[in-house]
Amino acid sequence: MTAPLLNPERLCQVGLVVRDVEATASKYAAALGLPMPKIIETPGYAKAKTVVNGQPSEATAKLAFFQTGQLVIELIQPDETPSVWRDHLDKFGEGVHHIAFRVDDTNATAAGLAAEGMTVGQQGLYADASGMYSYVDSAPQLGVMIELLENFRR
Amino acid sequence: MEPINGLGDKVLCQVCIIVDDADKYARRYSEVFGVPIPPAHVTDGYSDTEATYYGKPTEARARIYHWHFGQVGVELLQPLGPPSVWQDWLDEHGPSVHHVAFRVTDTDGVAREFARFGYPVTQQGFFTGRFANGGHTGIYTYLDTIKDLGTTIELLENYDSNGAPR
Repeated sequence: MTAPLLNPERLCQVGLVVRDVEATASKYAAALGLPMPKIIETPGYAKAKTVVNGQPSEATAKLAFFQTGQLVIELIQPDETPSVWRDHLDKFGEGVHHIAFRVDDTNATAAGLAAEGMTVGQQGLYADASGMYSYVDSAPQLGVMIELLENFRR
Repeated sequence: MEPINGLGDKVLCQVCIIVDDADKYARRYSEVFGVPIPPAHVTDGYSDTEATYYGKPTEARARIYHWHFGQVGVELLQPLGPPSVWQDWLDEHGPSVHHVAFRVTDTDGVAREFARFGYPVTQQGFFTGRFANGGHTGIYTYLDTIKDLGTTIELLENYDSNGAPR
């Protein structure tokens, strides 16, 4: 049997787009009984190498993370620059934007998904450049966008 | 205000995607994730689940596929008509993630805590299927958290055959 396109056991994150990450994070902290997380601001193109629909982009976002067992809840407040985050917020309002899977080889996984009609819409480096993320437009097939997360080997 | 109490280990245990054709989506999940398609599960009507929608009994059912992705349940849920929060979601948003769930051992207590924060119960019901002695196997509860948290929180509580939380 060939390996699946995505390993289900490597589901690691559920991401939501929100309008005000600090406000929503404080609501999550209260609801879950967890400490308020640090808010992270992602850098622009020079550092993040963000690509949206194949074009370099200055899109940034403010992020907050809560660890809840196997899954991390990620809250994303996008800026006004077009991005998969901004698109989702404008079209659907606040809500779950993606679920993420850890991968070892982004290009191979993305190629496999592309062969099934699911293509990368946005890609970039982590804020600290220790890895890369790729958003795959899988909503028509899977009901939700998939994010691929690859931590680079040190 | 004091934080909400009762979510216990704070482990997110399920992500549910509401879809318009569970069979079709289940085939895609099977292909992409290399998982077999389990038998579809159709929830029972009011006589078995005692489900309520905004406090009123509802016969609304759903067709469900469920997998374990590691320790997290992934659920594909197709609403089979109103009135339910599932059908409301599909009608308003189309296929998309509807809720994330947490396990609890005191649904009433936790629901009271959430209500204190302005998050009332929208829909609640016993699980479909019973123990040999007729006891319910558990209860689900949806909380109206969308406005503040961007998604619905579901509480899941399993019972033992004596009706005690387990």
